Amino acid sequence: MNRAKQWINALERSLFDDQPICSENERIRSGAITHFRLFELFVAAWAIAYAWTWGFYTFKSSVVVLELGVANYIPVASLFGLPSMIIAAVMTLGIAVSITRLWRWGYLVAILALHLQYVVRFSQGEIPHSSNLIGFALLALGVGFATHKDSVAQIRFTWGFLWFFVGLGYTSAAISKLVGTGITWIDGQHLVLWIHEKAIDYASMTGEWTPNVLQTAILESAWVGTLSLFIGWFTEAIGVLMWSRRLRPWVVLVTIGMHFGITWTMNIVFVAFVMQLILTGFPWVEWIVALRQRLSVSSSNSDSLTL
Amino acid sequence: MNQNSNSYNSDSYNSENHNVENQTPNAKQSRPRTTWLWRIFLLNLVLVGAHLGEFWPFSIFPMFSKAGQPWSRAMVVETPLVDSDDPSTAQQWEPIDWAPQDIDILDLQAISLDEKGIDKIDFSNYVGKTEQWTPEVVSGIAKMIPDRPEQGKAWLVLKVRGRMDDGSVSVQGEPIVAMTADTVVLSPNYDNQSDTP
Repeated sequence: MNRAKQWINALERSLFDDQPICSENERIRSGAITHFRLFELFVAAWAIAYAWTWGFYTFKSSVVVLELGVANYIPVASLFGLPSMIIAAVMTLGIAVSITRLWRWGYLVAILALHLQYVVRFSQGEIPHSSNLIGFALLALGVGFATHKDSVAQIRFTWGFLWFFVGLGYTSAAISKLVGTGITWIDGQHLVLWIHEKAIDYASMTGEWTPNVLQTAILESAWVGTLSLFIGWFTEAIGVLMWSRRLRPWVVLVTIGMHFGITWTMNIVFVAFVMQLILTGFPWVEWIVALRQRLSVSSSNSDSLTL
Repeated sequence: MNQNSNSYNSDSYNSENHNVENQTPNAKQSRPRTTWLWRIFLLNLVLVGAHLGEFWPFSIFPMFSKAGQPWSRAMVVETPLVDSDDPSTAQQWEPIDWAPQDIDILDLQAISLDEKGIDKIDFSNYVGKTEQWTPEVVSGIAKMIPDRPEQGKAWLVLKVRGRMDDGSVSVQGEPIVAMTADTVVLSPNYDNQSDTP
């Protein structure tokens, strides 16, 4: 029990302490706030785009084929069309009042509204996961702001919460593959089968398909496919290492590489995932501080030249 | 990416036990309420456990977890029509081989659905999930594809199936519907009815 407590304490320290916002250095704290505000804008832009795009799509929907989330408990067919525009408006308003610091519960309202919009839109049979990272980010902001009044605590909670769920999500994907198929999941022939499937999709969409260098190599040798799948699975499996601040940039880097690998082999593009990993996974605070220092040095140099 | 160079709160990070006394004043004053992480984590477990692994944004992320499963897609290809003395009769379709044929993905040529404003997933679902090819369903295909091929050519709507057999991958396309400049015909393997919208 003691060991479990120690492990949880260590994990909490790794997630919530030792963040740039905790620094005694004013410039680092200022950089951390700038980075956090950029992150909020990024999440806001994607969430608003999702809410309205999904809302407009529901004008084409007429029946519920798949009940996801709260759609299991409420008749979401009644929310197709105009009501989904109201959901999108509530979501947008929630984000607006929190990002402007008028009302700290706004982000929580926004994530609840976006969940509802998701289950309304994707009641048609498809279960996409491309928006889950933005969902985690908005949930982190929602819980972080609703449960804390102190602005530094809000920022620390948001980052720690976000990395916990992002890391867990990737490792969970690796576990799902072991449960769904077993260790034979990495068999290169599986990737060959997926490449064939995506090739048909691509040709159907554009009229033709030509394999790239990586796809050609995998089609010619299943061993290349096996190696690709193993690297992909291993990268997902180590997702929880994102919980460590020191390892995070490296794990994020290989995860971004994995996403590009999926794009090159199966023509699936991960725009929001990759953008969010880039914006959150690297030491942006250091870079912002360094940029500001450079700008202030160059401006003081030009001032002295003028004098 | 030198994260070690800026240990913002190195005392607390390196301490054996979590001790707020070791934190910087900023860190000490504003430590977040971490119990909320565990509450939401438990909620996550309950929700995904009770809803087949999906409760957005919570998920067990099962995509591609079942490898080697057969799949079904759809595509439209163009083929020349063989001349016939009486093009109004069904005999003109005899030259078309309605049997499933192997597809070589290195030599794929199809009619672009994107250029016709058709969503490829919607089209694949329509063709792949249809079990009863009634005249109305065939008519639906004709409505989905707004234009028609030139005279002397046919567009074949293929149901494409991929599968793994003894470790090797095979892809076959089966013509379901054929469209010419003025007719839409269903494969005799599904029904002998034809529809002329």
